[in-house]
Amino acid sequence: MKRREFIYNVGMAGMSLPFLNPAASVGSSNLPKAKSVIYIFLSGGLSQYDSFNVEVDKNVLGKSTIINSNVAGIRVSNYYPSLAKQMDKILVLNSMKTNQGAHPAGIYKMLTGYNPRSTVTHPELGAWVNKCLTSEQDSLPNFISIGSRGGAGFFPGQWAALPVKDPNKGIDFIRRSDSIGNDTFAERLDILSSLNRDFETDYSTKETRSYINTYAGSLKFMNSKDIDAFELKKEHPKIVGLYDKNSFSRSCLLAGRLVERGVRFVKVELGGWDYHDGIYDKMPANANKLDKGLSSLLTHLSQKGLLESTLVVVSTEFGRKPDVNPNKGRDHHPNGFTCLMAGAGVKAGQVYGTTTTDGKEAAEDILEVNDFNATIAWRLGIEPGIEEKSPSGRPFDLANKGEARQELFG
Amino acid sequence: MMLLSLLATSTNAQEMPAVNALNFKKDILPIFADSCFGCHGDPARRKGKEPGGGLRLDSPESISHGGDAGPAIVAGKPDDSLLYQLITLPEDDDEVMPAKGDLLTRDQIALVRKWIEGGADFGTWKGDGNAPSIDKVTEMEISQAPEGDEMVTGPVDPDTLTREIDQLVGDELNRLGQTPRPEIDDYTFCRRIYIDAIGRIPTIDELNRFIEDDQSDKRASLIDKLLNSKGYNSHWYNYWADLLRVKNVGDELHHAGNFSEWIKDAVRRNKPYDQMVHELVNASGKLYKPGNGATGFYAREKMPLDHLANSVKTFMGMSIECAQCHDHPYEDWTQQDFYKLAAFSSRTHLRVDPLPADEKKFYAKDRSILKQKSFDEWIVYRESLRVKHAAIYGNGTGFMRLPHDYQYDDGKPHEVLAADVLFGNLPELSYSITKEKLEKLPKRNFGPEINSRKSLADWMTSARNPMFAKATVNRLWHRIMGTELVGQLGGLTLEGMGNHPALTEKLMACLKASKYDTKIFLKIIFNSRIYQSKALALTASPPAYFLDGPVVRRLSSEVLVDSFLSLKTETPDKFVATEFRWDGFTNFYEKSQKMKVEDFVRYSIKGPGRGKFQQREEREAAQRNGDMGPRELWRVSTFGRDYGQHRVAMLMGKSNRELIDSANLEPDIPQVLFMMNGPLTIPKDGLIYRKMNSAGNREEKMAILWKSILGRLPKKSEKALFKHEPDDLMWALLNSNEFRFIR
Repeated sequence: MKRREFIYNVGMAGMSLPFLNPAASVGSSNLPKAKSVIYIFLSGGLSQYDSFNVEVDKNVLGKSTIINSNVAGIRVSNYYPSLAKQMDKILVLNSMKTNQGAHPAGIYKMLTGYNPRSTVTHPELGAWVNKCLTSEQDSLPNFISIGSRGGAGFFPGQWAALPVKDPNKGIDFIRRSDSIGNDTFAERLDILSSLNRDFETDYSTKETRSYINTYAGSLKFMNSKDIDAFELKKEHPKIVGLYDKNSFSRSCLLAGRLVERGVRFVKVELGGWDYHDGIYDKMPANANKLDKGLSSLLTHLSQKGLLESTLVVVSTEFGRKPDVNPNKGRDHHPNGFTCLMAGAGVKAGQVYGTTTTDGKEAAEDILEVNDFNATIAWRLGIEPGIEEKSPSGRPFDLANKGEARQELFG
Repeated sequence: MMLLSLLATSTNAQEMPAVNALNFKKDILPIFADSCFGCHGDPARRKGKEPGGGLRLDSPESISHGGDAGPAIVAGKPDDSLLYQLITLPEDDDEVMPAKGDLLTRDQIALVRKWIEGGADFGTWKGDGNAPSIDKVTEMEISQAPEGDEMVTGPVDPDTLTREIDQLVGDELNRLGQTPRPEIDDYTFCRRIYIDAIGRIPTIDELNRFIEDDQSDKRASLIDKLLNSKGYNSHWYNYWADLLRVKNVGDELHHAGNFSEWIKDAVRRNKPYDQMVHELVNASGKLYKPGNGATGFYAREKMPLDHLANSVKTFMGMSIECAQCHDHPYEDWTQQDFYKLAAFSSRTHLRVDPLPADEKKFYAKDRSILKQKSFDEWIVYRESLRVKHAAIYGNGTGFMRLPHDYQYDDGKPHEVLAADVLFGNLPELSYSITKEKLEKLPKRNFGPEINSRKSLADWMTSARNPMFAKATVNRLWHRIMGTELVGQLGGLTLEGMGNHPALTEKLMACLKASKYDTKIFLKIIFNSRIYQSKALALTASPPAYFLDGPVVRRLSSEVLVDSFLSLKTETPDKFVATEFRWDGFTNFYEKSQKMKVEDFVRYSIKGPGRGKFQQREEREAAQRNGDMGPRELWRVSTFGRDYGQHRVAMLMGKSNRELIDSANLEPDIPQVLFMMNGPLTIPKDGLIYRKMNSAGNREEKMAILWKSILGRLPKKSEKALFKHEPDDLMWALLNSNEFRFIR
């Protein structure tokens, strides 16, 4: 079914990218301070009171204890000893708020800025960034998602994330199978072009040509000089040594390599935070992953001089309740939760917003999801109100009327 | 709320003495015309918009009859006349009339008062323009075809209908001076009909058998054979499942019932499409009750208004979702139209937990104890109860209320609306409460159930509903020809009949004549000369007329993936289900029928435990299903439910069934990388290899490769390729556009 009008220009290695959007057309007046975003998504719902929002009543903290960080006045929970040493690079957002309390809807809202509907699907923020910032010169796709998919919503599929299932393996099937030699592969491609040429003489359509182009693009992508960005073993041992072998850490390492090559939006997912029971038995291992992976990433980016141009975002679909339930777990809590930002000139070493001390509600400087997304877009130099029309002609704007919270940046 | 309670009983104007009467035409009519007719005039002049409050003031009869709130005028008694009450309200009152434009001047009000006091005599006035009828008559009704049943006398003759279609198209080509397309050869026909009728390419044996058949009617015989095969059931299940957005994980956790099984059953029985749709729209009751899978259609999504918009798009091909939130910007649907239609299915909802009274009486205490005691036991308790109790409730109250943020002048937030259709005849509804009475009840009250959802199903599937047949032929045509017969699948209008209205009309008549039997309809088209014509490569400058045959298009994801089966085995359809298949939840549902309150507690404490609750039921269900064969020989349609997604099919663009029509035929990098570098999974003892191994010479081997994969013999020009290794050729053929596209 030809649902959407599709533009196919193979302008770059791999992707069929309509080239567009010289920065001016994006329509933002500020000079972009962030070149790239690394968006770490903690699906399941991070417990803010067992991580970065610890200045609340003692009973809210459950079994967590508080440790000092390297910034006077900022304390974190005991599960984050490595990040405690890097809080000078991080802005803590303690007043996040969403209107969704179930996982699928909450995740959808956080990633797209819209409530889920069954009449239209909305593009994820990464797809907007991909569409708005991709230019002809880019050698890699501008939305790459490690550990999950990244949907293009009503945008053409080309703006969806290129998925990487396993950071150690890179992109699926990016290399020809070992049993096929260079010459054999070349021979096969020759046969293929001969068959396709023949078919084109009788049955050439936009769709058949689009396949031929995408094959060409895929081959270019396979042979691209930048494809080694996906090969972690090519990284300098000193950088590799910053990370442990955990899959999330390896994903962070890959994300760092990708932004170094200019990829605009890299999403890394770390799931498993939905601790309705036994939170203090189950959570520490996951917290440890986040603690290690994120702190290694921040070191990696600073050492390479990339932190100034890379906005690192840590988000989650909602937080967890201030009271620990009888099963020693915490239930969903959309009314006040915590996200983090680092890099790209964010006011690091600070805390923005509060919840009430009983932990029940976001209190000061409430930050709604839409404003949160608007802020990220704005920092990338994209006008948060930029509009695109769905196939039925309904206009949708990137931030769903959200406004950038510019005061988060110095 | 309207001033309903102030209404006096109607009094006949003629009985009143005409004292001091004014001249209506001269004194009063200009006031009405300037200030009232804009909203209370002829709908035909307002793009079909209903008059405000159901009241028309453009004829003596309609003024006497009044609107939804009763008569507008009580002759002789201005203070009891609703019209007078409303024009004399204070300026800041929400109810003051006119709602639009300036209020009446004091002098004008005085005239109206005087006129009513004088007996509200209309003099010689007969009405403004065409005398309006109280009944709702629209243009649609006038041009309506008779009911399908009345129209069809005697048995349908598909051959005649086929000839009539070819004749119509031939005449049109003649008229345009356009040369007819050449007829396709047997090879091309064989590949095409296998793909369109049963969703995969033919195996080499199937192809050979057809080519060698020397009967003159062999094409017609093959069509009949395929339409009655298991492959058909698989292929057309995929079609309906996409259209109806079958999801195996519902929005309320994972309770989706047996929707996919219900569709499979309908396809196996060849249930007429109108009946199928009627059952879907009218579905209610237990979600997991075997046979009641149509409820999955409502369980599928939480938001009733979205569901309605999707239903209209699915079954009638129209996009009215804009009107869900505001008047449609460029079509006639208003938000009120939308809400009136929604009134038919109001209060339809999925409830997974036991009914509140049962919940409280039987389950709440244990649930709370278990929750305090053990999370895992509590989850098992909650979910096992849900499997038993999950159901679609509410069959429609026939009333709806405007949304809290209603922004137009013709209604108020929370105002009650009675059910009405978008066009055509309003089906009879047996209300047990009046709109006026409901208005006085709290705003969350939508009235008692009156099974108005059935009336909606009646209206939607009626042969008198022109959109139902039109949308259906448009979709089926698109499915097998690749072009739009009438228009965009979800963007049809009442008026639009496509580029060749006579053809559209003929196909609608075929569908009705075949009593919505999809197989007969397909048979009519498959046998036509137009279907059996050379496929057109649609370019930027197409010929003037291109409804004279199919266009070149990519195989759907499922067809692409299932076609690999034709290379692996002689019997690609062997494991397509022939009867209901159980899944874990349905298996448990059956058990739960005999379980008492205490059994659920026992089950959650001493049962299989949280992790294994579902797995155990799934294992038992699999046992009941018996031998389903090896997964690598399943068609894509067998996956889903307990058996998970087919990942390669997803990669090839299978619809995720979130939205209607969201299958994807576009290439992307992961897909192409998979085709080039991924495992093509044809084992060395697969059909195509066995055939090649038994071939006498290289030439024969090559013919086997070409026939198996492309469904044709190699061309002379392709003989140069024979020097390559068969594996390299197979790779290239499978990656070629000719394999991926239907021609």
